Amino acid sequence: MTITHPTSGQLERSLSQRVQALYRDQLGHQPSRVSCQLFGEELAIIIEGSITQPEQILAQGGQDSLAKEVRSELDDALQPQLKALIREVLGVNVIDLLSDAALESGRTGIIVILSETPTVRNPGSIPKAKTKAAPASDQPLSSQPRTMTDESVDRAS
Amino acid sequence: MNPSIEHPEHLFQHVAQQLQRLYQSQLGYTPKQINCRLSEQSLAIVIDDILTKPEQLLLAHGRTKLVERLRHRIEEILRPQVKLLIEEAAQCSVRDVFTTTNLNQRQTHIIAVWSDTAAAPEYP
Repeated sequence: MTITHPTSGQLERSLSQRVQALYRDQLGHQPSRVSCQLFGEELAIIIEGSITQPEQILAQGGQDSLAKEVRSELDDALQPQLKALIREVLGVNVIDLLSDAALESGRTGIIVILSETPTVRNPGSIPKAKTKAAPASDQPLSSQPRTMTDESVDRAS
Repeated sequence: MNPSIEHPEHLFQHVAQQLQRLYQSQLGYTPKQINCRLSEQSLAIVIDDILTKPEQLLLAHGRTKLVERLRHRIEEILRPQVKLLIEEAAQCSVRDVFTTTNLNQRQTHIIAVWSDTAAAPEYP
């Protein structure tokens, strides 16, 4: 019997859906868009519309510092579940997970360090993590992040 | 007194609906159970199941102090809107609004004190 591995795009889309579902289940909040991209042994996750309404009301009420503290603690609380779902979807261990959020833009960015590059059907499509900045024009088309919006999640489910 | 509100139950229902709208628009959830009690001096309100999902998650991870501070700030930010909606519902000026939340019982207690007890809502 042959095992057919998913493509990197399928993994990234699946991960985007799962992250969106995690936010919905744990925070009662639906991010407007989640994008994931593999870079060798690293994974970048961008969550747009990630700030919950209680945090937004704090920020609008001039309580930026408390809103940031709440966000940091929420990220910490979600981290074990996030690591578990990444391990489940990608089939590799998570060495480290670093996240930060911008209240102004509502975005959360997460960098995940993986134990190894996930096994995929199209390994050549996963760009290597770069140590030097390269011009944007050097980026191959296949390195576009896979995204999941509210609408596409609704269609998928 | 609001001419459309002829019975205390109508006032309570109106205040509860307005509070549910406020919580939905500002915090993204609707409390299911809101009880009111009217006296000559004040209107007392109890809101059950007050905690949002982010607060529940933080509590589950032992961040009780942070949730207390968060809830305190939210109460402060919402206080002017709570005062206004009670004044509009009762057609009576409110002097003070006191709010406190019991995290163990997951209840918020609100007391709105009428500015002038002579002008407070009266029902037959």
